[in-house]
Amino acid sequence: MAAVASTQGDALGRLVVVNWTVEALGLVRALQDLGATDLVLVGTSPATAVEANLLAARALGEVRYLEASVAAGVETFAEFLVRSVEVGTAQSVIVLPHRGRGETDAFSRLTCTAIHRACRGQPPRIVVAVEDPEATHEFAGLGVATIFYPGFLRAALLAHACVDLGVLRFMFALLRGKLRVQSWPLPAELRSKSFRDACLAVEADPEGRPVTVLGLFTAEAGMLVNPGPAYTLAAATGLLVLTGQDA
Amino acid sequence: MKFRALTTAAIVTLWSASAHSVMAAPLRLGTGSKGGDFDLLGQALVADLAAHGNEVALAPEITKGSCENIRRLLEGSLDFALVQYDVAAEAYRASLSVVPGGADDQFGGWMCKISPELARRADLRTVVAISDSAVHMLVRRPVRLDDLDAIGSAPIFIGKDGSGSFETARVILGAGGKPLEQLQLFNGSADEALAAMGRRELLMMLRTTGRGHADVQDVLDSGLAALNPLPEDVLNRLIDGYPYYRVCPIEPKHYRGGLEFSLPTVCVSAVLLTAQQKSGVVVDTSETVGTLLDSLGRIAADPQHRELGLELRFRGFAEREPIPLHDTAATRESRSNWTAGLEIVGLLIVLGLVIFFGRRALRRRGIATGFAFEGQLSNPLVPFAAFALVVVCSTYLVWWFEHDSNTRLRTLNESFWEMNTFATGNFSADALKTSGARLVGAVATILGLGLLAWFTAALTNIFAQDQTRLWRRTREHFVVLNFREDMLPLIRLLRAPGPARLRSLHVVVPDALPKRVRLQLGKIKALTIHYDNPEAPENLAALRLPRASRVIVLGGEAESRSATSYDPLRIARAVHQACARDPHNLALQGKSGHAARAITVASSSEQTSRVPLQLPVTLVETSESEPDEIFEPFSGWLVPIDNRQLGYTWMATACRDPAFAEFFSGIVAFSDANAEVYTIALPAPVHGQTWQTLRRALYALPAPERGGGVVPLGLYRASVSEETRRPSAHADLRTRLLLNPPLGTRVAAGDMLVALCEDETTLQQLVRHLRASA
Repeated sequence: MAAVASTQGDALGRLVVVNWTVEALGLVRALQDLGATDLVLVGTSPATAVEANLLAARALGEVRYLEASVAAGVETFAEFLVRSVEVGTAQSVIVLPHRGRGETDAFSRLTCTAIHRACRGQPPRIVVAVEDPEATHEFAGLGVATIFYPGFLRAALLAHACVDLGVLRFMFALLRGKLRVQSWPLPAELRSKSFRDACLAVEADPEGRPVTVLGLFTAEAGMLVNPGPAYTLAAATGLLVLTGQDA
Repeated sequence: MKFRALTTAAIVTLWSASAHSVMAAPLRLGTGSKGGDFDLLGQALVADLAAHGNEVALAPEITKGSCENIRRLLEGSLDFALVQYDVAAEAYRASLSVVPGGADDQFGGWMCKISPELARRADLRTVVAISDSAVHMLVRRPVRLDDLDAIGSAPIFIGKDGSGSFETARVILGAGGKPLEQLQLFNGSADEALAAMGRRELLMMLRTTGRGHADVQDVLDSGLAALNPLPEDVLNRLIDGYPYYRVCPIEPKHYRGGLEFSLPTVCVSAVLLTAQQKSGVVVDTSETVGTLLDSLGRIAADPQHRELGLELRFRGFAEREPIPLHDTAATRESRSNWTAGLEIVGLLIVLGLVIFFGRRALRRRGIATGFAFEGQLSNPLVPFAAFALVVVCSTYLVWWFEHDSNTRLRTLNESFWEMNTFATGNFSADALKTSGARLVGAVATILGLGLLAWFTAALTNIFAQDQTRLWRRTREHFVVLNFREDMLPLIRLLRAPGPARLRSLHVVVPDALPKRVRLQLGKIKALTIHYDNPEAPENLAALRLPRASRVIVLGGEAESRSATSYDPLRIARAVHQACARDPHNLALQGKSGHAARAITVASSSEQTSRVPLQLPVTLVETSESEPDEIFEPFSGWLVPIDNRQLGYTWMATACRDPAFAEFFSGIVAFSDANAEVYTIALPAPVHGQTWQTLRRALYALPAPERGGGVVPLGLYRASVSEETRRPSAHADLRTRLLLNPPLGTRVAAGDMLVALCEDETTLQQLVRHLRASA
């Protein structure tokens, strides 16, 4: 079975984290745990104040810290992102909330605007962490791929723990990196078949490790999780697969 | 002076001699027609007096009935007479009328044509009412008369002229707007009238006789005639104009097979009358009246004379009783009332003594006997019982006031339903006639409304308390300790539709929590807020933590952590201590538990860990500065969760796997898609099968009509070592999750399936299919 390199690979590529502070050292650790080797951290703290905290991270890969902020102006910051960060070459950009500069999410939106301009409308994958879920719609049109609300994640994990510890364990497994949710190309022989056929046919990865087909992708609806066994794969563009093991 | 004294002595001597001669002569008693009830009663009196050797000699005289009796009594040719009370009362009223001189003849409209002049000759006195008679309207079948106008010119029988029955029928027909002159009366005896009715020559008979009379029963049995009710308007007019009657029903029990329902009619009593002539010698009849009363009492009690239907009464036999009681009768009545009063007082005293000594005995045995009225305010049975008491009392009182005069309240049953109407707030002055009854009705209405309000409030209170109790119950509940503002979504998720919504939720908030957040929490249903320091085990005792389903310990705000903020580790210790001190755990531990509970200078760790505690699954929010190792001693029941780091991991994973973010958000947020994760026990038939076989069987299951099928993710395997401790936090936390297990993995007994499905119910249905197909 031919794998789709873009979604099945382990490489995180070049990553940029904006509004980074020393408190977010855990993010650096998480990225490096997943294999990130080229990190650019952009923050408002003086470089001298953070350098000592990055020593351990730098032992695991390239980690660069640059002092800059959109507070200097969107255009100025966009130019900085082009010139100093080369944001256009990054695979993903993570925008963290920057507290103490007026309304936090508004500040993040300005940052995204700067990234959008720096990339001339074709930004890399942008992941923004917001503090207020109501601010989500403000990021429309800025090329933001994922808007993350950490507050809901915390609440949801604890709420699921109250209902079913098994489900909490499943979420932990997804978060701790042993399991992966990947998109695989749809094998040609399954194109005229149903989702049930795909589930029965795709039982293991090329290395023989068990996998589970979770859903599929279509051009119209995007991701469809568990569409039903009879769902035809004619319009499917790929499969959503759970890989890895957690035991 | 000496002459005056001698004259007086002579008069007294002469009067005494005259009185003695009067008393010695037989007393003339006017009865009725020969063979009638009054005649039989007269004979019974004679026999009884003779049997008891009384000096009083009685001479019953056959008469034509009440009219002759009252007339002769007033004239002085009778000493006593049995008279229908309406006739007697009319005569008494005639004696009170003011007549211009020489116009006496123009005032002969009273019953039995008693003139005022005749009526004034003697003072009538009631000795006693002896029996009741009811007006029976017998109508030839199958005719039924709802209105007396329907009689028209048809012949009717109302008794012999001169009898009380005739006079009563006359006023009844008059109340119906039918003077006798307009009616065709049948002349003859009652037997002849019945024969005429059999020949269909007679439409109706009005007879005033005792209820259950054999003659009427015979008529009903013959099928010639049926009893009809007196029209209500006639009854009301009759009572208003002639209050010597009273409304009374003829019940089905009075005539076997003759009646299906109670019939309203009027009753009138027969009374024993005496008269004191205004001219002539004053005769003292006290002793005679006493003797007659004694004799009547004996006859009434004698079963041989049951057919006479004697029921002796001094009062209460008519709506109005204008004729005064004879002095002896009044004395007897007074004595009877006193006796009855004393009996009631005696009963109350006995009851009070029984209650007093009963309570004392119960108190000595340590049984609480206090009513505790304040405690009963919230008991709905109290207002309900009070309402019932009000209805019952008012029913009796109103019936007592009105049953003789109000056609709507003839029986206690009718009064009961009327009072229910009143007590539920529907007061109607038209329904009651007398002021006393109206007053009772008004009081019943006011009391009833108040008691119903009390009853409603008590019930509402119970529902509210039950709901509050439900919210505050401490079994299988959730506890959130050290709550902070940004965890409001957690509360919303726990109160969202789903299995967690039914569990009570207890939230312990720190002092530093802003008031606006507290107010927001206060609006959430099924949530109890505790304002306590969660680091103190004593404060957590009321939460009954060992019985909690989950305990969530939140960390403080990262930005505002200060010396006053609460530490998750210290809270976790407090949870452990609170559980150790819980009565349930103390009972499990026995003496060693009590020993461990005491704070001493030194204790061994072995001692404290010897007995396992019942602890809830506790989730503690930790931070980077609190590595998981800190919580290692609690690992059996506590799960540390570094939410911040998990958030970073989430973002990192979202960067690596673009599909992860959308998939994770879907399963976390219970989105509409078929992407919710549940665990479910696997049925025995699949135990021993490989994961691949099970998975293929699940894929092969037909999907529900709407929604997707099931996507198996893995197995949730119970800990074998903790099997004996289930259910417990230790057992829960040692359960292993096997996601994407090797295809050859065997399903073991106790394994649960982890799967994606539309909802839990759908998963249950599908697994049920799996059991059936296996």
